[in-house]
Amino acid sequence: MIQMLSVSKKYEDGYYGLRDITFTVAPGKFVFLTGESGAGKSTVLRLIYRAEHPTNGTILVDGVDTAAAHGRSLTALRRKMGMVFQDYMLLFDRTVFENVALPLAVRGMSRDAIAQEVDKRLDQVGLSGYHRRMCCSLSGGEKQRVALARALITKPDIILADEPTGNLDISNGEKIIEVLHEANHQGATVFMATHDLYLVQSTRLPFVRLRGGRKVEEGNF
Amino acid sequence: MFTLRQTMRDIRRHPLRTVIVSILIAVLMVASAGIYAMSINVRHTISEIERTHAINVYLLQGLDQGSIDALLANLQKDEAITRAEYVSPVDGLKNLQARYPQFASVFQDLTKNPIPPLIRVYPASASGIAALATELRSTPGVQSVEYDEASVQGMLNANGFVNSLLVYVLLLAGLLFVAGFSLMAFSIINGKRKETAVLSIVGATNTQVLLATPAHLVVVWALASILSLLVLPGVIRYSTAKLQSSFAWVTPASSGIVYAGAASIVILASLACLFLACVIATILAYRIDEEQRREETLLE
Repeated sequence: MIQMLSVSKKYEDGYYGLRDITFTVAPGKFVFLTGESGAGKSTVLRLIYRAEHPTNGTILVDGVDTAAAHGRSLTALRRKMGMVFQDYMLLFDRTVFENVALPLAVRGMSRDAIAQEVDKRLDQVGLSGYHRRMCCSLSGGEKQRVALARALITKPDIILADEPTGNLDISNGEKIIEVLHEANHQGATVFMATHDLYLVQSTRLPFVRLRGGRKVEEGNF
Repeated sequence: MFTLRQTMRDIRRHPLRTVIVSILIAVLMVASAGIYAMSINVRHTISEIERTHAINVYLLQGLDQGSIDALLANLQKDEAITRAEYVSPVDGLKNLQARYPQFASVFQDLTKNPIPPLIRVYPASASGIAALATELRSTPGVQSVEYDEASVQGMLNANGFVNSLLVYVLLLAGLLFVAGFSLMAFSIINGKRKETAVLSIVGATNTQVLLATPAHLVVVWALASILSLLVLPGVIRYSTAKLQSSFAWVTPASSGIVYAGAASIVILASLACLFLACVIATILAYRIDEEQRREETLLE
């Protein structure tokens, strides 16, 4: 469960990225975070995975205050989450296998176990046989699916997706959403930021809408 | 284990880049060592030239041979003196005749040898020559003491200039070394920033994140050190070609001590730079400035 309680984020230049945001994403739900560019969607996600601290308010992830997470507790917090970014955040000088295997490698899993899991996840995102391909040689859709496989490989409780379809064509975008739905049906909480209101309307899933750093709407279409 | 595997994988994947960076760092190390060795060579050459300046100590006419031998023995024991040699009046006259053959008839007409007994003293350094001359003037049995004051002063001035120049060159070499090494370290650190961010995102521990960059630097540094140690003996031999001193207590080769000194200096200096780079990598990985982190790593 993700809870944001009266969260504000003020930058050094005095600009408020977020103002008094409060909402809850219940466990096992698929929730969209929507709004125009600059509304504060990415800031919300960065605050949740503790790339930033809120200026005011509290963020709880499964009851844990993210502001108090440091060192091992921060690692533990991040290990609960799988993250997908619009710009993929892949290591382009490495193979698909190495990128997808990274979360398991840092957890010290054996090579055989990693290989099995990577096979499953690449199969899930429709990239079977891409193991040895270098990430730099993939198309945008393929890169995003690799990023998604990397996020899913640890079977995280929470998946945070920041505009994962923003750079993709309709077909690739649908494939990404389909895989996220599948992960959600298997029990993961999915919190996805998107500016695509049509996508939010068509899925009829819960959403939180931001504008200018403030929450303006919450509910279902 | 994870960090080591990743580092070795990175190096295997980019062998050319690793080798080029290692060679560049090795060149910096060897160049610094070469400049150090050359400075040793220059200092040695200067001290050899200094030793050619002699003080002529003219003794009293008719001083008995026993007193002359005692005085010579005392001078030879003096640490400020490299060498002292006795020139008898007979030898002095012969030298004069050999030097000025055009005055042969004048020498033949001499009824008495006018040349006083002489001890030629070679001081250990030109800087102490004036003090030594003063000391010699007050020695019993000495008639007069002469040396080429203008030449010695010129030599001292030149020495001062060369020593300052050497200090500047060594400082410059040191700065170039630190700057070159740091630039390469920073380029590796910079190339690893995205990896650092990704590692944090996928749940790597702080140790794994912090070690990712230094581990790579250590491997490159080790390769560079091996390369430089392979090339260094040749460079030192070239830089110290005219060095005649014997350092047999270290190695039979005269350049042994210089080699050991140069190798120690470059390895210690590169270790210091490596430490600096690791500290910077650590600060980068743990930077508190969240806005910077946001801008530079996650929103590339």
